[in-house]
Amino acid sequence: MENKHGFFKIKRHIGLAVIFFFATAIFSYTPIVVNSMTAGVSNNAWLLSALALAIPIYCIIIGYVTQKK
Amino acid sequence: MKGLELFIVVGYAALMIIIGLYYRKKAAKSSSSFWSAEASVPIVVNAFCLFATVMSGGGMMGNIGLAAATGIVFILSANLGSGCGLGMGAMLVARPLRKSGAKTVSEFIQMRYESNVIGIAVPVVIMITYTIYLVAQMKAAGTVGEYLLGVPYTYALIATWTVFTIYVMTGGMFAVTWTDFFQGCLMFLVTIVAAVATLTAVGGWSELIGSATEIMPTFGTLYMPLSAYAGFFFLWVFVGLCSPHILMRVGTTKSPFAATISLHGGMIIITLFSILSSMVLGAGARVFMGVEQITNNDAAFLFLIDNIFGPIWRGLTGAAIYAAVMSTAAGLLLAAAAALSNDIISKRKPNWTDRQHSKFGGVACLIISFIVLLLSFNPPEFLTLLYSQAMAFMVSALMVPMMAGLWWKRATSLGAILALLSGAISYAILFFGMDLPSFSEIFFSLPISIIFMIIGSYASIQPTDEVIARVAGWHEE
Repeated sequence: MENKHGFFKIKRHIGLAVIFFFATAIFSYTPIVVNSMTAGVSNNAWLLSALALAIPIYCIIIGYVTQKK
Repeated sequence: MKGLELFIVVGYAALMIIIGLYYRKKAAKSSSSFWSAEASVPIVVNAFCLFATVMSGGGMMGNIGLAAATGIVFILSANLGSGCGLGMGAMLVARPLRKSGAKTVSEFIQMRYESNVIGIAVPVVIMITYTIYLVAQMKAAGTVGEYLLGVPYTYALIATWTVFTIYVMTGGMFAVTWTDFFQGCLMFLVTIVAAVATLTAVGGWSELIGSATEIMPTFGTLYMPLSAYAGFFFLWVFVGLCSPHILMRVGTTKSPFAATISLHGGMIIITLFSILSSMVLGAGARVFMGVEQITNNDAAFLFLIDNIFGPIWRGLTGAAIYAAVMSTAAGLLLAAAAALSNDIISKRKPNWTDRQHSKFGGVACLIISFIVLLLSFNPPEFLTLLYSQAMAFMVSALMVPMMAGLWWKRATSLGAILALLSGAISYAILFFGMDLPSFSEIFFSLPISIIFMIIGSYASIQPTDEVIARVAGWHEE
């Protein structure tokens, strides 16, 4: 249960999803994303929308797979 | 007075009261029944409840006004952030919170830190924040009554207040759950139909965004300081990690697994809703408004539906906006009442029976609701900005004590108290005393809160093995 930093251990797939979420969300606010557009709207909006759909779908699939095991 | 629209909205309100009264006896059985619906809510129902709770009157109406006034991206940031907040809550908070058995966030923080100061400070922060949030919901209700139904603002306000107060105080979490489910379905349906009607009326997405951009060249871009957009997004992500009215729903599910899946389901529904409302309906409102501004930006959605719908769908849209207002108001009221009743009064009345505690829950709902009504007669402009700032204050105060309590073994009550006070005070100083871009204050207040959590925790005796073992148990399978 313990790790050396004094935090409670987080499940690997959840930890990866959290890191991926914050990394992508921060990346979406970089100039390369903010200043490019698709269909009249900044790619920042499209990237965040895709992220907000991808994360829960991934977590639901992993959740059910883990539950079945 | 618009007859058919008014009839539909009144019929909808009557249905909500009937649901509340139907659950009256069940809710009065015990405090667990009143605050947690006996942990019996199915996953899909809970997902729609979360959507209805998060997407408030601001989400349904004010956000579309903001999109029309400031462009798509600013408000989409907040909407997507609120969806992502549920996902983060599912991944980082739901399982341990559900396993702890706490009915409210205050109760959870009190269990973790075993401190009387925290036991008072947390519910006080929640009550202040949620009172402001509730006033924003009431303003939305009054505005809908005025614009859509032709009813004076004050009458619409009092009618809405009466409906949701009755069903919350009589039916508790049971009534809030089933009314939220119904309301969530209605909001989603109306948004889809309105989006299709808007696209049909304008001639497709390319024409819609093209016309909106012609009227307002910055419509699809980020033209304000980046920290304002990022702050608005991350604020609502962090709300999902510590917001009592959202996390109370974790305790209503049958298991920790059901809690996490329903939060992810809520995130998907909110994301789809956000894309339709901010992009399609926001652009539609901008196009139908043309270059001229209407005097109340919060009523832009109503201006849009006047142009795309006949009376029946206008009535259903009015009911959907009331649904958005009441579902959020009900969740907020229940959470604020829980802070007063479950977290403050009950601790001082240990001799009361469980039934007495649950009955006082209804009284607490009435007390808070009445204060909100008094404050709602003369509210400020811009719903979404108003309650977002209130939530930013709450996030600054509660997020670090909550997350550190869940995940950091060394977190102590002194650290939590200092984190709470430093987060709240620094946010207030930054908001009132400095000219920062909107919502960027949390990028300073949260690090300050973290620093004080670390200093306070290392300056005090570490938590006992018993406390650490208890929290470890919440993380186990």
